[in-house]
Amino acid sequence: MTTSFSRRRLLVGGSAIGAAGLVGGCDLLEGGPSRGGVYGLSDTLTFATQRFFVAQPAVGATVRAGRDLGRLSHDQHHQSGQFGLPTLKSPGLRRLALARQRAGRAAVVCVACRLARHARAHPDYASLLRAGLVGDRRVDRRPAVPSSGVSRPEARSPLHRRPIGRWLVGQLRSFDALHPQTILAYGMNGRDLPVAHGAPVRLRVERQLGYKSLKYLTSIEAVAAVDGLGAGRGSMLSELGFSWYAGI
Amino acid sequence: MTEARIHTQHPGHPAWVRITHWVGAAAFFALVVSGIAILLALPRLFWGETGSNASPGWIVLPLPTNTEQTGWGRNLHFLSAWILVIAGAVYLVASVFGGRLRGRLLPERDQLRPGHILSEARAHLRFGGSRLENANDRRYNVLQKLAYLAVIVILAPLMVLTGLTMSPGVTAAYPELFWMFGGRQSARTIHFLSACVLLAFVVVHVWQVLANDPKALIRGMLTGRGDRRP
Repeated sequence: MTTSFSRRRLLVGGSAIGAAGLVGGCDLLEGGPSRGGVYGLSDTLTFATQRFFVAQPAVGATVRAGRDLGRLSHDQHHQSGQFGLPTLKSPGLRRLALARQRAGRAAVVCVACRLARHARAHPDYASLLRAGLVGDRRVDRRPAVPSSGVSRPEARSPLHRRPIGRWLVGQLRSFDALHPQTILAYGMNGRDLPVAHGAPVRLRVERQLGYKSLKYLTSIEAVAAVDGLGAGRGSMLSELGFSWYAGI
Repeated sequence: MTEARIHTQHPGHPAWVRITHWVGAAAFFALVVSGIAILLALPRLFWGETGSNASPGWIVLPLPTNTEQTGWGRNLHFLSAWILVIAGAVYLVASVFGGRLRGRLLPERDQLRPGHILSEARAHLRFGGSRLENANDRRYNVLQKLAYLAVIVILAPLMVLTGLTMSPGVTAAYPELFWMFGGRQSARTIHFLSACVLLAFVVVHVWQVLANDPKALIRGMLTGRGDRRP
């Protein structure tokens, strides 16, 4: 299913790039975040090519993902703990995040298992499932970044630009949320996750840019649409022109 | 027969060469502009796997940090990268299977003699050009051929591969890219340095056109009528 979707998208993207006169919006998924103009064409082509070559492994098939992560973790600095531990018993995603926040033990859970269960419970959801991940900026105690001239975390910079209220919101497509390389981490290198790394619980999306790996999670929701979030593209950086899947 | 024709008359450029040349040139210009815009978000380069605003850079560029330009920069970079990749693929396939790579770009045996290469290099260093040796030789000179081949065979693939290594989605699926370049930040540094070499190539390329009958050469690449100095 995924492969045929990707092939179709690749064809759509490829033919769209070829047709110079065609500068319309390209829906990446029916009812999903769309993007008009000529950048919509290249965005679609990039997205489709990624999906084509980076095929989605079956949910729970963590062997390849684990191997990849092992390759990525050359030294302690890159390790993000164990991968794909057995599922927890908590019924809902929101409750899962809150439970982890309270527990704060060193371990890693596989979001894929959570979302897969959610998708099974809502079969008609499966194609539109997204995880909305909300981080609470009040606990953001990261030190200021000196070389960019940002003195406080609240200062104007792309990563902190106009949060929705006091919230930072990230969106993932079900493809990315269900991927075995997408993890919720509440531990690192055999210890509790440090505050600097997003304690008590953070998201780690290995396959997207760093700003998609939200820290300080407070809740996770599966939503049917991203309307109203980040210019309708469900990204806190879409104001800058980033596409919903980070564009890379 | 073809040998004699190549030597005595400039054969001109077929349409697919002219189209991919100008499309590629425009896309390369857009890539340079948007690449600088992206670079401004973090105008320092690192060797290895990690790097950030706070960590010491391997190369610290004397550029202002500006994180507001990365959005449009990235969009334009990807759009023009796609255009250049598609144009480049068309060019590569056509020139390999159409014989242009062998006929026009690969140095011939007499051009590969060390003495010939040295004399060419000496002539160029004295800004004398290579036409002095034989005015009827309308082939690309050996240095020109080697420069074109370096761009097509080495630099262009290097740019694509280091660019892909900067994509978390691609490296999560193909971590071999990290092994190839020694990390994402090394790949970014190689991407930048290769871009500098490509830019230097373009500067020399344009300079050589301007220094050698620019009207005829530009007309040749625009219209395909390549008969120089009639």
